[in-house]
Amino acid sequence: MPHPSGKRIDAGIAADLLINTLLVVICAAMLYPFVYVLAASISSPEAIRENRVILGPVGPLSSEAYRLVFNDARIWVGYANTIFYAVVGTAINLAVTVLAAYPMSRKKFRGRKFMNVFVSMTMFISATGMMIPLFLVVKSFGLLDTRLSLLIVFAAFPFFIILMRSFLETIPEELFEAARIDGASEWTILFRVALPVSGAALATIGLYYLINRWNGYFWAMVFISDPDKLPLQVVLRQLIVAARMGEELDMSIERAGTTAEAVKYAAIVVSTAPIAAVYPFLQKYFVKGVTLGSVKG
Amino acid sequence: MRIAEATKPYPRLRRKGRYADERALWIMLIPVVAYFVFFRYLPMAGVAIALKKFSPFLGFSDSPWNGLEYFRQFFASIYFPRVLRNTLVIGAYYLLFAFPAPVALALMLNSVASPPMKRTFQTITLLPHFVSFVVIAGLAVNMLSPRTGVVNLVIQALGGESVFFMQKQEYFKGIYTAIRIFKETGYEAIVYLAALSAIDPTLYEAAEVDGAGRMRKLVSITLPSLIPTIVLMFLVRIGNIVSVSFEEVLLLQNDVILETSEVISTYVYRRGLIGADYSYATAVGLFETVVALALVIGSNAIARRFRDAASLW
Repeated sequence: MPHPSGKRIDAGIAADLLINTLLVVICAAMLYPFVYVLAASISSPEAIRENRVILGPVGPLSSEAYRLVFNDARIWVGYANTIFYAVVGTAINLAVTVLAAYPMSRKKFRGRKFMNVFVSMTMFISATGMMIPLFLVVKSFGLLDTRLSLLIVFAAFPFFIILMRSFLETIPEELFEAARIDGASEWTILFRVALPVSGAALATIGLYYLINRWNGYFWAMVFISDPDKLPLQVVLRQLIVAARMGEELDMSIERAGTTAEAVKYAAIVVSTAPIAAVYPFLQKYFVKGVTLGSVKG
Repeated sequence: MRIAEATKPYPRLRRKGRYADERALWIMLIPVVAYFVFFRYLPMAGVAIALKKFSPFLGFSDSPWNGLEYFRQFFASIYFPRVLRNTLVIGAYYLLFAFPAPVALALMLNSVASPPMKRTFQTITLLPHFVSFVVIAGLAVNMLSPRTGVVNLVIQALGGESVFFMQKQEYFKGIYTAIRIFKETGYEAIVYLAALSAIDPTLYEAAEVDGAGRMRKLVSITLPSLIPTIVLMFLVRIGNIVSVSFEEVLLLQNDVILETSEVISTYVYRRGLIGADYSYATAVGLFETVVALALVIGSNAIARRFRDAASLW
């Protein structure tokens, strides 16, 4: 039946309704795996085993899995290591990125052209091509199984250096000139003039580095074998694989399998919670990062 | 005097009696150059072991040269067509299915009238991007598990038979693509949302005055304004097609489905780091680099031409 106020408005409302419904469905689908993990981590092991956890937690609620996680030395050690790699690693990342980007952004610096080529060139060889030689270099330096390996092998990404350089180039030259006339050294200008106005860029690039450090898995798995130095993601992977083995061998009927399963869910929650709790507030910086990158190559 | 002035930087400042110290800039660059030399350029030079019969005991310089033998070996093996096909098919799946998803999501988000709702939708769709591959792969295997996975529970509820998805050769590429869509659509939509917000609102107002409806505005204003971004992103993706997200594939695959899930990068890992077949694996990696480089340079050239053309419009 046609709406009295005209067909077009009717169609508009229908379209809005359809789009909003679709978005709700998409969001629900994206949230579902996380809701499931959260529910499973506090459900009773029996409920998980009998497949009764579908959406919400199934009682009797149990904090057993979390108790096991908090008593598991591997997870604690992994957590501490990840915090260490993330904090120290990101600090190194930002330091190297800024030290590279600042001279490269100074228009009258004679090494500018050379440094731009020197840094950009390395982006052309693919990660796969570098995989084995990089491993051999780290090995020959005696860095295998050291915390230092993870910190310095990825001390900076060329892409973010270029991004930072492009940002610094947008700062009005007058600011620098004024400082120079006042007799400021380049170090003073960097710390007193350039960095104070680069907050948004530093936050954006720092966040990318931080997330990368927090979520990094592959190279930690390759470089590090000492359990005391492993980051959380590698420990988590071991737990997930152990739980899966339990299921595939159909051992889940036994207690060992159930415990592994519950611990896995709790460990996923514990490792993902910090980032999930923080990213909505930092979202604008990521959005800025994407637009920052598209301004200038 | 003139020569001295020409070699000194910042001549204008020098007149004021102040030297801008270029030396400080070089000192800043010392750690940067050291880092790049040791961990970017040294491994790049190390790629030369693809042409050597590298032995860890002899070391890099003492290992004998071996010519193109390892390339020949790779091209003659059954792995060459297999990993190349898997890599390219996964790339094609990406372009076909995963590439349009963020465009659609951005258009949908853009049409949500209430800003808080729009922000909520965007925040939720961004979540998977920030979660590690380890967790995402673990969740995927969980959701697809034959006994406890929700996908199979739905299939069973509909009267179907439970499928062991992760053990079936034919499903891997589709599963991988679906996970890519799940993880990255929200993030990749950002660039399109930025393009959408850059559209001049007076265009829409003028169209409304002319009596244009919703659909008309979408077809005549929104889509044409998005096309440059879409084409550029497409070209960038083609350039990256060979560099399939390595960590994701590695974490998802298992021995049973290696035949359809092994891509060039995971093959390099298996032969080089697991099998310690350093020279051979480096040769395979170098092959990947050459193909990737050709694609990147090719698509960049087209992108540049397109950008020039776009700026003329």
